Parts: sequence; structure tokens; C-alpha cells
Amino acid sequence: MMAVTDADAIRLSPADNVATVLRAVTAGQSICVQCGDRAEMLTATESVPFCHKISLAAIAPGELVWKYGEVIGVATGEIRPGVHVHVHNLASRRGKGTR
Amino acid sequence: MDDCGQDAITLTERALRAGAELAYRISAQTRQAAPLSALILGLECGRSDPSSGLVANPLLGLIADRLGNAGGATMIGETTEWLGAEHLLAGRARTPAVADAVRNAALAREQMAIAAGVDLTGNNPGPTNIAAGLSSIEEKSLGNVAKSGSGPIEGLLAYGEAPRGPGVWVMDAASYAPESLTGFVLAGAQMMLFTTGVGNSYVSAIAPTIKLSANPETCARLRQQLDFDASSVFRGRQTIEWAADRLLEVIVGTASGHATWGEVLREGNETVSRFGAAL
Repeated sequence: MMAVTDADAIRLSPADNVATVLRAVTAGQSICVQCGDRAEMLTATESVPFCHKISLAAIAPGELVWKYGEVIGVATGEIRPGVHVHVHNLASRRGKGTR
Repeated sequence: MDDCGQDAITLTERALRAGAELAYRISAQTRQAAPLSALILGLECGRSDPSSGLVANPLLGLIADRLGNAGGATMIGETTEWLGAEHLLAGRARTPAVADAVRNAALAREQMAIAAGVDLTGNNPGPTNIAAGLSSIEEKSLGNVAKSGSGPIEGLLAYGEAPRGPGVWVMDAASYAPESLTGFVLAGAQMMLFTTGVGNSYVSAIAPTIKLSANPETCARLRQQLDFDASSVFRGRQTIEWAADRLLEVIVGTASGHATWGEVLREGNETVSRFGAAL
């Protein structure tokens, strides 16, 4: 659940390797990511649209992507820190018959 | 039609007479005080975006907790949108049998997608959800189930089946909002709480539908659609508990006769799932 925040992005659980940006982010921008009572700085290496996800760490292909402290899918390509994470580099593990 | 010899004019005449009788009797009814425990609410989300899972749906979760504590009942449906989060619902089940029923309902719905040759991504989450930033059904589901709050899951309901007591219930039903809302109406819900990310004008024709969003752009744009603006929580200006207090006031106001935007604008319909529920 969301805390009162002025941050640019929110990491919902310490287990998460992505954060949700609370305002659109441009490439090269240094952003403040809030996680609970703590905040950390991260450089966005790509633009990320409003409410989309940004990677907080390197995620190798096949590694799980975590948000809410839960798995939301698997990386389908090399994900470097600070990039836009969405359907181009993350795939669902459900409803495909291949789970 | 079978009872009317397949004559639509006879059917229409009978319906008009039955409707007139009903309107005549209802006209004698007056508004009476009722406790919160009398409320049964359907909790829906449609055209969701990530703000739904961050704020609007957890806000409904607080309402589900408070109404449950007051002796009222709430329901969530949209079984496909439990996939990836069904372990959270099952973990809160009142009994092991309820946990099994919840897990099995989610798996059966997933099998329907697979049997239909549907890749859920692109279907649910749909194009609108994806454009707004939701990447997978797991991500959408984790936001969706936040509507159910933190209390025990009392039981799994079949489509249109009424809750058998207070607390939070889960209905095995289609995710398509018109079918979902009608399932809640059939189950006895007198009111709907309906969150949206980018906007969704659909409401129940029978049960007043309180529409709300936490997306600041949506809240500014859809003033005559949204009955409650939770964007101050998204912007970090208010706590979610503050918003729950205000939303409860809106719920009580609506139960007391204040019209929703959907009623003012005469939107709404009812749609019963028929040939197997849509995914």
C-alpha cells in the first residue's frame, strides 16, 4: 500500500526489482525512488511514461520480475538498471499453456 | 417465451402488467434508517492502470475491511484477474476447502484461456491496460485483489450466488465489467464501488455505482463520471485512511439517496453471462 510521498517513483516492497514512476521520466534524469521510509537515487537511462515501471537492478533473461513483493513475470531480455520495463522485456507466466 | 406460446406480444403484456403492479406497491415505500451491516457491495475495477493497484483498489480494500467489521458484506469477482495473486486470496481463506476452491477456480479460468488458444497478454491485460503501463496478468491481478482488503475470504460464490453472511466473498465470474456487475446484482449487492485508471463510464442499471479513480489526469478530465477523487492520495497529499473516511461518507450518502453520476446521466445496463463466461 502506498505511503504519502513526493518521490518520482515508488518501490512497493524491498523484494522488488522494479519501481513505478509517479510522473513521466526522461532519459538521463536522476530520480528519487521511495521504498517505505527510505529513499534512494537512480539514474533513468531511458524515458519511462507516467505510471510505467523502471528497473532498479540488472535482471538477466529468465529471471523473475518482482513488484508488490510478488512475481509479475519473467525477463525476456537483458534488463539493465534504469530502463523501462514493460511487455517488450517482460512476459507473463500465466495463461499461455507453457507455464 | 415457452409460457407464452412463443408470442412476444403476450410476453410483453404480462411484463407490463407485472411491472405496473410492482411500481404501484413500491410507491408506498418510504426511506428508513438502516445499519451499515445491511449493505452488500460489489467491488469492481475496469480500464485499470497502475494507479488502480497503487491506490484506488487498496482504498476499496480498506472499505471492505471496515464494512466487514461493521457486519456488512463485499464481493470481488473477475476470476481471471486472480491469476498470479490467487495464493494471496487462498492464504486468507476461512477454511482449507475455501482455499482449494479459490485456487481451482483460478486454474479453471486459466485453462479456459489456454483451451481458447488465447494468450492472456493483449486480452487481459488488454490494450488499454498495457498502454497505461500494466505488463502482465500477474501485475494486474495483484492490483485487483487489493480490493478485497485484509480480512478472511469467507467463501467462493458461483456466478450470481448471494453471500451467506458478512465479510469478504469472491465470485467465480467473468472479468468483463457488464457481466461482472450483473453477477453482483444477482447476488444481492445494492451498490457497486468501481475503480478505474483511465476512465470507464459503464455502471449497473440497477445498483448505484460509485465510480472512483486515483489517476490525477483522469480525475481532472472526468468530473461528471467520477463520484470520488482519490488522486490526492496518489499525489501524496493525503493518506489512504483519510480517503477511506471520505469514501465511506459517499457510500452512506449514496445509500441515503444521493444520486451517482451514472444515475444522473442514466448510464448503465445489465448483462448476464450465458454461453460460458467471457474471459
